[in-house]
Amino acid sequence: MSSHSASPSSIAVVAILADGTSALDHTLEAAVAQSYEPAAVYVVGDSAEASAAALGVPWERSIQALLGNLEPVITHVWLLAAGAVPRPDALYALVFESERVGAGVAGSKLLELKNPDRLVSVGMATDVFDVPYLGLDEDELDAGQYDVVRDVAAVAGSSVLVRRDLAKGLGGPDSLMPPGAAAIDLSQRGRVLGARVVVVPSSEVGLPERPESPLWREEAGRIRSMIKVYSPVTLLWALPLRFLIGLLEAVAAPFVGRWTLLVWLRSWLWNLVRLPSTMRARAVLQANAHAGDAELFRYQLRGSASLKTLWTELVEAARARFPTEERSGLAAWAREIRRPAFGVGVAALIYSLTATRGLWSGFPASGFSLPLPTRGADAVAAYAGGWNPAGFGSVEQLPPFLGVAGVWQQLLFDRADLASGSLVLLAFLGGIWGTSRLLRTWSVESVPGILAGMALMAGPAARSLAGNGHVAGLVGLALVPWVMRVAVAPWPPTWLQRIARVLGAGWATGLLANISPELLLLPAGALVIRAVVESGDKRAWLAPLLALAGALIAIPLLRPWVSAVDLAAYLAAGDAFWAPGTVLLVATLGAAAAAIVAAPDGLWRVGLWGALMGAGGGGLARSAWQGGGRHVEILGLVAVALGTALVVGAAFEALRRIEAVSGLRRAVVAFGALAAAVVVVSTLLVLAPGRGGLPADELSGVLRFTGVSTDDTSTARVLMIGPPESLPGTSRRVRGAAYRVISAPQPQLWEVQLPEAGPADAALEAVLEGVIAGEAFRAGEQLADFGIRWILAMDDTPLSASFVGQLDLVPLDGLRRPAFLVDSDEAVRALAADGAPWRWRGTAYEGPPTPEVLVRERAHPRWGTDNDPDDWAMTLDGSSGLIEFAPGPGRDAGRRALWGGLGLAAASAILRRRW
Amino acid sequence: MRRTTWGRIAGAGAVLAGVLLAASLPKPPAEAGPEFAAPIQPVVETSALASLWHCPWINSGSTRSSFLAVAAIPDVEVDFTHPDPRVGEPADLGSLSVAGPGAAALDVAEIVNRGDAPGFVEFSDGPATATAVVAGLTALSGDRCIGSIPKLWHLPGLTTRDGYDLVLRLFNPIPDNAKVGVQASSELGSEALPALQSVDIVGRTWVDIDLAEAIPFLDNLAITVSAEEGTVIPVVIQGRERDEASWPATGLSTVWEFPTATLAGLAPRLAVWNPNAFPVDVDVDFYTQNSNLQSVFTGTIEAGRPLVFPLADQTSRAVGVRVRATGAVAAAVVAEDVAELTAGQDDADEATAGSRIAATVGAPNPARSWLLPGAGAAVGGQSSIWVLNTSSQSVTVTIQPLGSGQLAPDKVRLDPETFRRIRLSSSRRVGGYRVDAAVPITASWSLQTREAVALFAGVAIGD
Repeated sequence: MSSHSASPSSIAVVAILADGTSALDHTLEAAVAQSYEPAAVYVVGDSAEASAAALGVPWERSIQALLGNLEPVITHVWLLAAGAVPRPDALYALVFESERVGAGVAGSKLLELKNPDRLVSVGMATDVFDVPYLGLDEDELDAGQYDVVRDVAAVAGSSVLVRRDLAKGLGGPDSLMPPGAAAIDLSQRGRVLGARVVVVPSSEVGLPERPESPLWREEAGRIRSMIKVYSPVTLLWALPLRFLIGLLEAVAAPFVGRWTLLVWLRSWLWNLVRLPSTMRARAVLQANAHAGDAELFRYQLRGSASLKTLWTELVEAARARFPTEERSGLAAWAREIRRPAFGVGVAALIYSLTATRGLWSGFPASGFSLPLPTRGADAVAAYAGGWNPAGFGSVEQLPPFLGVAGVWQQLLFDRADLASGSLVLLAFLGGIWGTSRLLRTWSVESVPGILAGMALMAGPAARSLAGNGHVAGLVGLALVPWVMRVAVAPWPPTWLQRIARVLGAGWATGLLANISPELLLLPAGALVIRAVVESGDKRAWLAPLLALAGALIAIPLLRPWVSAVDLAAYLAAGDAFWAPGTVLLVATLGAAAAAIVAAPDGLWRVGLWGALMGAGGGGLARSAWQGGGRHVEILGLVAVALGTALVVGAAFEALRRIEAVSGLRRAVVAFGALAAAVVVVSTLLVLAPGRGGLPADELSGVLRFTGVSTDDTSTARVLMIGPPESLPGTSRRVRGAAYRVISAPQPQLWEVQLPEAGPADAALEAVLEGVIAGEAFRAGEQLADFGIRWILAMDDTPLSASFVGQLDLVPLDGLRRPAFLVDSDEAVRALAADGAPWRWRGTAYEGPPTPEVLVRERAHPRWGTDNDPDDWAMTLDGSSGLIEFAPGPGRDAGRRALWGGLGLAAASAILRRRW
Repeated sequence: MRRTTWGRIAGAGAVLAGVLLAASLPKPPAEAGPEFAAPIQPVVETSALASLWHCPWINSGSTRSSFLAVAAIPDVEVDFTHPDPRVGEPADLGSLSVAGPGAAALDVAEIVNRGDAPGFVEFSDGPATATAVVAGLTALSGDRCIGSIPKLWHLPGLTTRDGYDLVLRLFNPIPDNAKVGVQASSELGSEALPALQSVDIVGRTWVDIDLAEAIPFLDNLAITVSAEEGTVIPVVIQGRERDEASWPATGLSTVWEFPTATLAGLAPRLAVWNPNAFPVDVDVDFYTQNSNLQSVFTGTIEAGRPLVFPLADQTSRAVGVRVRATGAVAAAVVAEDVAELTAGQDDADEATAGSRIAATVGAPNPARSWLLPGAGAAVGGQSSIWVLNTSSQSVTVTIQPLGSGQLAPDKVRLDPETFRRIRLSSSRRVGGYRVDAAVPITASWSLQTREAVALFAGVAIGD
């Protein structure tokens, strides 16, 4: 090991890269003491001149300068970080092995200096974004397990041997990069120039502990390195993806205690500033490139190392919430994986992903489900004191789910599709998980809990809820078990934690109510029933009291909705009548009966509680004759879904504990489990459509023709006619025939509920009356006054037949549904004085500046001064090119509610820690 | 243990009670659907309440001029649309205001001389109606415009004898394309028209079909036009040498009244068309200025056959005619010159032998008020109003000229079961007439020059 090579190329020079902080003496000593005696040892670095002089070693300002001054016989340069202590044969091994395999860049195995058994690095892989992956466990010992010379994506920069000609071509490490990124960059550039990059484990170098470079600098260096080495095609996707991954990391990493938002921002800003220098370096490199991206990809990991690390951290954080004994080490993991709960949990995850896979393009447009608005900010603004665009517009309060969905959408880069898909997916996952957590309170194990969660989210009641398009109800349903879990969890021992619990119940209920206001009191009501069922246990009354306190705290968080809406009218709107399927009703009742009659002690009360919830909810969901409306039906269905989940959980748990019962009760328990299984199997019905039970998108396809009829569909409205159930959201009637007006090209979620009829609605009804009576022959001209450009009949109705024969309605042939085009250029929502249409954007109008614009929205002073106040529409000043609705007092109320909720959540999180 | 058992039983009971209670809640009644049926167009009723009137026969060019006469009870804005025969080209538009009750006559040439092209008239209010008068050097034709649009149209009284031209015009006034079938029946039975089983008419255009070429040499022809898709307004133009007549298609009725059957020495014939699948018995009553003659003609029309009653064979005097049938039929009166004139005719002094031809459709129901746009207007020729009282009561009929300014009405006494002709003098101040009576009557008008005659049905004003 200590013999010298006789080959001419074995002449090498050592360049100790001083960083101004690490001591040079030990490194110099070890370099000089190499068995392969280097031709010379230099100290390199701006700040190291004095140190070099003191040690009597030649000094060079930079690697580039050194390379320029070397004798021609020098074949290799060993770049050694200051502070590193190589073993005596380290240089020999590097030179020998690199010569043997023909490598241009060779790195050493790095070990901890203080504890030489501990591995620091044995080469490294990177992902395509140059994020390193060492492949070592924490505190992994060196047992020679990696001792083979191999090609790697990069070698650590603390000890690198570079062929001299290659080093000259590369110009040494990039001086703008921190050591980690510079090492990867050097290796990548070497590979692009055709060199092999290998790690030589027999070359061992001790490395002292040293402060890590700032994260943002490492990240910035990696981005710079990518820009230099990759082809334009690769950069076209890799850079945007890296940008998004960084952003995602910035959002998710705080959950594991890392804050990377500033890192992300600074790294990209730095690269923006340094882009000219990066491009110059890229030009030099690419001019001499011998290898393409494919060669780099050979040594890289698939996927993103950052995301893998983040996921691991998140999983660890989640696991940390489990009892300690269940997460101790690898054995526990293996044990857990073998448990049925793990398999069922994975199955539930796959189930949720499959059941909601069709929603990543947005909520379906059908019934009460409509896509989210294009911009989340518009949705939030419309909810909080803004314009309600349904029908001909109004200032009626929009439901709070719109505000919640808008905020969520903004967090997801304003992608309505992402927001829609993630909301329902999270609802499914959260609902299943939350049910499992809730049931664990009564010692129901994970498998029954997960199956109960599936019954909650996709059982008969949930499917009815979703089938009508009540997205908010479906998402709210998922939150109910969590809110109840907060209330039923063991009462904490300290006052601060108790306060935290109350605050937690408050913000959780506030979130639930903001998603589906009718569910505000459901957790408290459900827990009252539970307390009654748990007769004799006075402690059981604490949970409903806590839930009630949470509901009281949540009321201010419901502003501005709660102060603007007429609650009686809200609850009475529509008709509540749920007609469950007979088979599943019988199965659920059978499971409930079995749980009540035969389940072991304690568990039967869960079954009874669920059955009472189901019966009560069923009554609510069928209370049309008692004045119950659509929202009461939602409340009832959520109660039924919750009751079904409790019954299913109890029935399966009873089967698990069947040893605790005997005789006929065993058979009854088995029957109950079988009945519960029927309910659970029925949840598979949502898998094939993949919409989480939401209805099929009926409208997007049939409205697509509007895009063909005009350049900008957002300038006009569509009059839809047909059976009420075929129309989106609520509808109006004229002589018994249902119709409604929607925005083109497609109605959005804020148009579900039509406001109280106003003057425009009365005028439109009069027009339709005339059409029906056969008194109108130019219905198109009359409808154009309402901004209606198309008429779409969802079915053959007498009303649709009334439009046949109009002189200015052009029938559109070849469509799935009968449709007519209004033959008038003035059939637009807003019209400038010169006849140019203005576009509808969010809840505002924009177009070329003009003195006056006729805006066909219900007149309201917050739009501005109406120059023609005699009719229902408005003539407004359009000189700015933009007409907006001024926000009302609801804006501040909404803002306060948002911050109040976040404040409650933060206070709860802080106080619940054990002080 | 016992407590638990009782708890389970009580719980199960409570659940059962809750389930039963929920199940007992009744389903709310389903919301009623539309309170109106699919729009069924009136079959025969032509009411002045409609505000859109189609005038398929307009010809304003080098050989003919056309007048559009409008009359309205309230103040109305009148828009006239004259489509361009080139598909996709914008129509020519004309408009005028009529102070109600009033009437006006518009020379189509003031809008555009488009030649042979249909048009339609829209009124901003009603009752209002329109009539088109087409006048050539030796020709006069026209009839009331069409306000109702049934899916099945009937056109009796046609002929493709040698020397006669016959054009069927199919006007599609709306943007939707129309598909129609044309069937013909003659005295010989059903006529095969394979090329006309399915005729496509592009929206806002029209198609002219030369029936004289398609089915020549038929004395008595009836046409049925069925709109399979879309909307179509049929009209026929029957030409005879130098004159021509035009009359619109109608629906079916068991009664038809014709106040004008003949004038100016023309020999009238009544054509009745039985489209039913069963024979229909028909009675034809005559009404003179003094009395009525019941069942002058009686006959049975075979299923799917037209029948002609030669009115001139029974009387040389002017008469009003009523047709009564045991099934719904279509009817039209066609009057034309015959070779020799008989002495003693009422209008022998006006008569000029030649090739004049005139025709009109009847009214299915009498009414108390009628609008006669164009009557008495200065459109060339002499106008007459014809009123027929088929009731058993005598009635005073108010003849109110409509036009610009205050115009004095005239009153005539009409005995039971008689008809009267009121000759009018043309005036530029008059655009038409309104006829009112205390009991339902039927009114129509005629226009004649030395060379030509035209008959026009009146339009009843709904009660």
